[in-house]
Amino acid sequence: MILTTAAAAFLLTGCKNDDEAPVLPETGTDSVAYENGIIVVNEGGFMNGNASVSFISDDLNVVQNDIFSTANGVGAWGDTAQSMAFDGNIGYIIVSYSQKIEVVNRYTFKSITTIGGPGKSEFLNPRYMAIANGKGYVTNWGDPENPDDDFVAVVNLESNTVQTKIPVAEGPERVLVKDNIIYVALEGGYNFNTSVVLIDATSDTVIDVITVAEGPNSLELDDEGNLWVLSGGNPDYFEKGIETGGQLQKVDVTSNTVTDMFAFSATDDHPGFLSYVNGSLYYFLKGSVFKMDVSSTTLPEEASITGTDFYDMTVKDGKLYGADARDFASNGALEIYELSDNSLVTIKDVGINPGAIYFNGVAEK
Amino acid sequence: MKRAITAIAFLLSISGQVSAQEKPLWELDEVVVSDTRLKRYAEGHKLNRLTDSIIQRSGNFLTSLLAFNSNIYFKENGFGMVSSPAFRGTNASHTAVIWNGININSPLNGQIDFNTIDPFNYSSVDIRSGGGSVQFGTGAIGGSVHLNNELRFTDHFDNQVMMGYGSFDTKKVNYGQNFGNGKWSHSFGINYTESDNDYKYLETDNRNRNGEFQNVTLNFNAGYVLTDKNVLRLYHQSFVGDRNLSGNLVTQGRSRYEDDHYRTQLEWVSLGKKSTLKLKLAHLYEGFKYFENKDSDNFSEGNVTTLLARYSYDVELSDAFRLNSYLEYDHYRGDGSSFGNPQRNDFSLTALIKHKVSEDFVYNFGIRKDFSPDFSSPLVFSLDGKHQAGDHYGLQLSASRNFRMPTFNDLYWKPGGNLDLVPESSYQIDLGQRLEFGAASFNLNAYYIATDDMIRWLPNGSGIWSPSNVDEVRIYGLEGEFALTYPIQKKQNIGFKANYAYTVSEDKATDEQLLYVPFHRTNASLAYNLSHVSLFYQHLYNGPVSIIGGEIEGYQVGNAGITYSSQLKGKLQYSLGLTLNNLFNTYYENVALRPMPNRNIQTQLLLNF
Repeated sequence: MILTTAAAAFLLTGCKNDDEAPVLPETGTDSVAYENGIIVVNEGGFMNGNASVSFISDDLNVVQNDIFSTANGVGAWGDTAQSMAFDGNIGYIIVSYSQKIEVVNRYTFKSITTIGGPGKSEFLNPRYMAIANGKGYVTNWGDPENPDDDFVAVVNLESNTVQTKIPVAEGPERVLVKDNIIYVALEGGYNFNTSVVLIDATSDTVIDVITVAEGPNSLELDDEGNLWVLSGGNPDYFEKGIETGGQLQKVDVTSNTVTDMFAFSATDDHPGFLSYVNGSLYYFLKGSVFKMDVSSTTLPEEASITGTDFYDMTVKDGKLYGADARDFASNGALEIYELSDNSLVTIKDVGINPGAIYFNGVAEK
Repeated sequence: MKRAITAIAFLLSISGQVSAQEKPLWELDEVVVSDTRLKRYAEGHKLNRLTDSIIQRSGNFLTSLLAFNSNIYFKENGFGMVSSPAFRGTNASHTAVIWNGININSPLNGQIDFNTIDPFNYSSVDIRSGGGSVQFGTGAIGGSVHLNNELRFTDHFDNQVMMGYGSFDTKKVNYGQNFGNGKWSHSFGINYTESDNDYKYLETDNRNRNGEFQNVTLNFNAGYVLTDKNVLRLYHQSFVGDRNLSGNLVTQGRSRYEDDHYRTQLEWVSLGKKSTLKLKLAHLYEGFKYFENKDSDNFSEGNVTTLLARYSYDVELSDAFRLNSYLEYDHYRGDGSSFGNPQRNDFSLTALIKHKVSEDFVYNFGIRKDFSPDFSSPLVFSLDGKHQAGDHYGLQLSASRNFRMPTFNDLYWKPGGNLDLVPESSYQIDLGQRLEFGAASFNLNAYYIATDDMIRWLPNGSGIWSPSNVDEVRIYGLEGEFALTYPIQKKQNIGFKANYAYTVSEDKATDEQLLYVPFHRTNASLAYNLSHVSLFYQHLYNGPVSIIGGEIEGYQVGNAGITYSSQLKGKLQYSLGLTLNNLFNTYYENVALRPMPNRNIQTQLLLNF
């Protein structure tokens, strides 16, 4: 209902009354609304135009949905919000099917500008963004049906314009930065790919390619500077292919070679959502969360948490945060677990199709 | 009887004509009407027939015809884009579309896109409310929409040319021909429609972009009287459509959709003394190409071919009893990017019996069983009857079990297709009352539908979307209809018709109204003609609907038109029409974030000769 009212207001005013945005609610003693809390990006329904962002305070007492709409006094603003990236006080919301990035103040969610947009050519099905050397690196699938038009768009963060596009192979997805190098996992988009490409953030060129396993879906750095790549494997429906189990690989980033490899035993093991905290890796597989020490020589056999259904998952400060999209049509949930005893702390309702979880600290003054 | 036939044979030999005066009415129906089941075994059902003038003034698509003239609610992904019905609160695959007696719902998704059917070249469009799976097969749960072509064998040769032009550079050309010489009859229609469809989104600075469409429809129907007891009939329909798919308020459309439908049926009708035997063979093809990027050569595609053979035997057993039974075989063959090359052979057996208890009381009972190698279908039944109490009051009652079979997508989609599905099963009861006083009639229907095993796509344990028989829905509602035709003077006529529907369609698990089903919906039309001039106004109120995470406001839209008709010389008649759609320039969406057209003008010139 709120959405409709807001949508109606948007349609009636045509978005002209930015300066009449409602007064932001305050949390704590700070004057900024969305500090010290969890940010959940909700995709919304594909082609339903109901992407949203939710905020949950660290003390778990405040849950606010639709914070982008609230902060900017708009109704429907995007279709399929995929992920966010952050640079100082600035947040970048990658809105995949609206072909745009909404640039906001990450603590107020007030809009700063929009890069790209429907009918424009900056992006084509953008997915994730990493920031290095004053630039944003945005993975783009291009046409999902076309394996040859995928690219990484390089955004000049001063001018908020796309300054170049670096062609890559099929399906660039998650990105990670280390030492001025962007690691781009080629998960494969609608198809399946098997590598991680390295882009130099000075020359903006591809400098190396590391072959991993089918469908690399997450990247993490451990405290010793090793890159961990989790690949989901080929699912059973992959055309002409044979189903393969996932693999976890450890990559030495000085030589860009795989130094350790852990293969999942069953061909229908398709793990995802790798996280790293304090010497431990966490991943999600078949409704369960597994924990593995980086020094372990085998994959764990026992799950830490069972009976979950996550659409994204991450770990921070001894807690595990899992986004449950439920039926993918109504509001999803954020589930928080205490990792010391793997107990469920709380479940909070968020927006539709929650697919990315981030953390906001205190605003830089 | 024998003498009558001899007489017909005699008449045929001298005039070469099958004429209404000489043949018993039922025999003539069997020859002229493409699907007699609609009339003969449906007394307990509400049936609304839309014909010539209403069809001609109702835009380019079946959607607009039915939206303004029936209780069916439509969701359109923008004007001219994919359009799906909700008949009595049911979902898009619960309305069967019957083309000259054959169910043409897509085996791929169980639906018909009502914006791929141009009603212009049909003799009539019938709306049969309530379940009809026994007669019409899968999907006839909320009701069925029937596209009919009649074959007139009487001596005639009529031609019609229609040219239309209007806002958004919308062009439409139609040529129709109708011929009969006693032994042979045909009707032919070809239609081309195109539109830039770039209407302005009211209250914004945007336009409808990437909404261009064009399509060609061809209808050809023919009948040939082999002997006075044997008739061959052929029906053909082709539709070739090419559409860009428009975006919405927050996305830019960049895709394109081509779809082709070719439907052909050949039927042999053999008239016995008190019986009719029919053998029907049909070939249905539908294919699509979807271009995610309309400018690219990459596309996904799919097609499915259906071969149908139906043997039916209809016999008058006595003055009181009539029996119709048929045996149908369907072969489906698909080929697509997302579902491989599945093939399937299904059979069905149906029996219908009619009992005429008295002149005022008739009822029908039917059963049907479908056999398919990939799923087990329920035995379905129907019972419907009508009691006429005096001249002014009639009572209709029907109860039935109906089904919707899993579609190709449900069964064979890669990934996720589920071969463990069973058909959706639905029970319903419908009570109708009709009051009639001279030119005025009033109908009131109340119904209840309970559907189980409804197929829903959900992510399974491995995150892959897969269908399962999980949903249960309960629907109940009221429908009221008022119609009045009133000749004021010799050359003046006034006609009024109004429909109202109250629909509650709830998910049994949540007790909440389903998405995209309005509680209230009403439409009305008023037509007035004086000599050469006709005026009409039609109005639609569609109540608010819930959508994912919100609601779409209700809306009211009105269309008005004027037509001037006159005779030139000889047979040549012309008629000039002007229609203003969305007269009050209302902003409305019937699918979230997809504004519908603002006020627009369509003009039409019709020549009959």
